[in-house]
Amino acid sequence: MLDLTTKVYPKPYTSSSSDEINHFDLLPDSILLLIFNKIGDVKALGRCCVISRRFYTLVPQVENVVVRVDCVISDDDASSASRSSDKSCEAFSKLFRFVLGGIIKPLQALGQFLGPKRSNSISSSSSSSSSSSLSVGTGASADDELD
Amino acid sequence: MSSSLEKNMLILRSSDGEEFIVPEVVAVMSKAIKNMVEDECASNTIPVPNVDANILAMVIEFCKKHDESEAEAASDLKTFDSEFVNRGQEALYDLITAANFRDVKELLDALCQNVAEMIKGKSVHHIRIQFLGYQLFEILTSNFIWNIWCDRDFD
Repeated sequence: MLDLTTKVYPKPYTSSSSDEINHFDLLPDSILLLIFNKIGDVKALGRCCVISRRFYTLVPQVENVVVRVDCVISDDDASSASRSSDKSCEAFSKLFRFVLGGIIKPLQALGQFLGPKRSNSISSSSSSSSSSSLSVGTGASADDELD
Repeated sequence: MSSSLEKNMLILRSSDGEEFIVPEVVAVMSKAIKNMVEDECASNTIPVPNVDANILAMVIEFCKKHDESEAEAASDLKTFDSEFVNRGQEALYDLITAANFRDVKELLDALCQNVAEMIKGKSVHHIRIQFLGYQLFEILTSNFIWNIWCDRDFD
């Protein structure tokens, strides 16, 4: 079975690079397995998987595997980053509220001055894309004015 | 005297006919030779086929060093090992085969460790070029042809 697969695979390398004999193809599987066991590192083994079919069949038989968990630090970084992003979000929302408040308050004042009809017309004329809190706020102020 | 010499020294003959006189303690680091000696099926001269004189000399050098420095600090041995295995591809391959064939565990361990260090931290193309003797354009063309071969219709 193994012989078949190796024969099916195109092999131009040995013929074209005959001056440089392919030493590692000549090593027996057991030796390659020893070498892979010495490598240990999962990333390196994963890379070995895609080198050739032979390596691909051999790598899953490795017994000793070292998984370096350095993502603990990166995870910490990520959480801190998310925290900082939260902070920036908060700052942004504060700024947004400030700006929005700056828009709403004069409108409310305008509504108070102009009375219910004008304020209604203002709220309807304000573009639909603007935030709903704007129209609600003016509506509430209009209701207050009615009362 | 002759019996003690016979007992303590062995003659190893490489594949190309060269003979090495080696103390028995050094020679039996190879398990294959050890078995031969223990079973007393070996005469004074032990043939070591498949291993030429150069490689056999290297193996004997390694075994001697390990035998001498067994009591010495392990760090010295480590540095010796790393220097010893730092060779070209061909010698490395020959040494690995010899160590495997003669069953010299320490040497095989050191060699495999060296190869593993060479593989670690390399990209796939690097490993292919370095260990399998591929050229870059061969990888590209062969993959290209292979992909066409795989994608074709079987009719």
